[in-house]
Amino acid sequence: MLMKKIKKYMTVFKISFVNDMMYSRNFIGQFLFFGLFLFVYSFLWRTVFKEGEIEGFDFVKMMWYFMFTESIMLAKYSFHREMSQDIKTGDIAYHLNKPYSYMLFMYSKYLSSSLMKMVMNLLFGSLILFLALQNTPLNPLNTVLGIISSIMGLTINFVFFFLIGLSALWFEENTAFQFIYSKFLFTIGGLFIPIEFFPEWLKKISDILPFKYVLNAPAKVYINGLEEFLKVFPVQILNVFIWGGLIMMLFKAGTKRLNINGG
Amino acid sequence: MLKAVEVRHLSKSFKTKVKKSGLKESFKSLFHPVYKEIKAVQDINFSVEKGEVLAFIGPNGAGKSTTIKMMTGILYPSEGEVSVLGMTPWQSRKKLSYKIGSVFGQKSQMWFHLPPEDSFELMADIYELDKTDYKKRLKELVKRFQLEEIMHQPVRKLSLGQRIRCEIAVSLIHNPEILFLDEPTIGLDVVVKNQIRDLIKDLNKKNDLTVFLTSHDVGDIEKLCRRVIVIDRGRLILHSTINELKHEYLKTKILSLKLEEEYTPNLEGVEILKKKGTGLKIEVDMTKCSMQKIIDDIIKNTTIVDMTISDTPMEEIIKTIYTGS
Repeated sequence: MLMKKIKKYMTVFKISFVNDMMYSRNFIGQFLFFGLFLFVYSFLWRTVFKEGEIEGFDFVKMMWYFMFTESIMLAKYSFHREMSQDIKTGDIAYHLNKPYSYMLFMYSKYLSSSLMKMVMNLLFGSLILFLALQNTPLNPLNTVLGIISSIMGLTINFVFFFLIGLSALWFEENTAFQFIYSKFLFTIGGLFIPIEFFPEWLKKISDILPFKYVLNAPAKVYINGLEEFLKVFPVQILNVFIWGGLIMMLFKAGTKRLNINGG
Repeated sequence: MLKAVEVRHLSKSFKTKVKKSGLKESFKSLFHPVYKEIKAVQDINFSVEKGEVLAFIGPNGAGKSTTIKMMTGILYPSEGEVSVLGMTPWQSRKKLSYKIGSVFGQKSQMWFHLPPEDSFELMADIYELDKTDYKKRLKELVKRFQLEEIMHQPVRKLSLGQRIRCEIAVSLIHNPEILFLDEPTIGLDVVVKNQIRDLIKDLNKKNDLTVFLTSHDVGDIEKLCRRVIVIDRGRLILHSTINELKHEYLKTKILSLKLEEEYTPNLEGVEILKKKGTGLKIEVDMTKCSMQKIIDDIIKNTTIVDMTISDTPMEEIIKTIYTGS
């Protein structure tokens, strides 16, 4: 019985993967964008690290860190726009009368799409950096642990995207929430600058908030391996449970007050 | 007769923000929002028998979709009770979803860039079908809906008619007891419309499938349904069989005549629609002038070469009901 329940979400994952393969040409644009980003930031970081290490980071490590955070950032499937639209137009109705959890359906679709993009980004970014720098912090264990931690990071991000999508139930216009959330990831999520560079007080704040566990934490697992993984992975799981539980309750309450347009 | 659906005193109200136009009013509504209650569905009662095809019609915004959404458990009603296959939809939404199928003509459940086969496979897993049951069912549906040639083409490459055939077939993969069809023939040409109607009729007869149909197409209603329910502005305004409806509303007949000599009728209840030489088309109000009387009058004055008598089109009847309400 449980296997059948799990299988339906695995099929969503599979079908979504096959569907994304139809757009494989889109990767070219994404790679160009990613490559350009790495190229531009390499100038910035070369200047910054001219004098030597900062908080344990040198130029090479910083470039790899940036590649890891960006590979997750650019991989996130922005389903919240589709979800907001579904709520506004009432199309969400067609999901609710099927025997599956809307949240898990969206998660399977999101994870399939994001994971494929992330792996492609990682392969491309690693190749570029390895050719350019002739050095890598990656080894088989770090890579596996890094991918596991990235999946958890993507899952925390899913919870927030779902929350933004769900906000369409209460707010006609919710793009501001998306904007604010992405800026949190840019800053205290550690997209451009590792959290280690921040003053102590800001570090403490970002430790409590979930944003660093989306980007900064997985990037550091790729670099530092098992020790870092054991530190951040339990916190990532905790974040998924706390925030995930919250959106589950909100979704349940939200569907009760669902007003469907066009009826 | 066993009831598949029972709806009692069902009502649904929504609150919407109202705002007058202009900048001043926009600011005002920021601090003192004014809400208006919209009664989408008001105290409606009806039932659907098992194995019946029922038409549920009404003009745009009448409350049809809201009612369907309450019957499938998507919306919670403000008041009233609904029982679908013995279950309260909004309390047993998941359980009920295994027993009902739905097709919304304007919303696809197929994956646009993939062949229909992938969507069928996904639905089979969603409805937790056994592999052998699924294969058997798929084979049957592919044959019945003539999908052999299109099963491996991406959905985006299919014509609307082919896509609707797939939509109905995929909604039947789990062998539901009730099928909710919301505008299934919208945008289809006459030939495809007839194909879809034949398929629905066939499913209803052979599989005893209960069909709850909403449509703006009078042909769908006339060809498929025995009973019709008309809803307007949230209220149920008519509930009768198609035959009763015709009997009640067919008070006029159209006579197209080819005569030997020119003739102009002068009887109460007879209106000339078209007259050209010896050709004549008239509308006869049967409550004011019997058929016998008009034909007697024609024969007295001239000889009939050819004659056809036709009913007022169903479309006109529906229009009368809508405008009358």
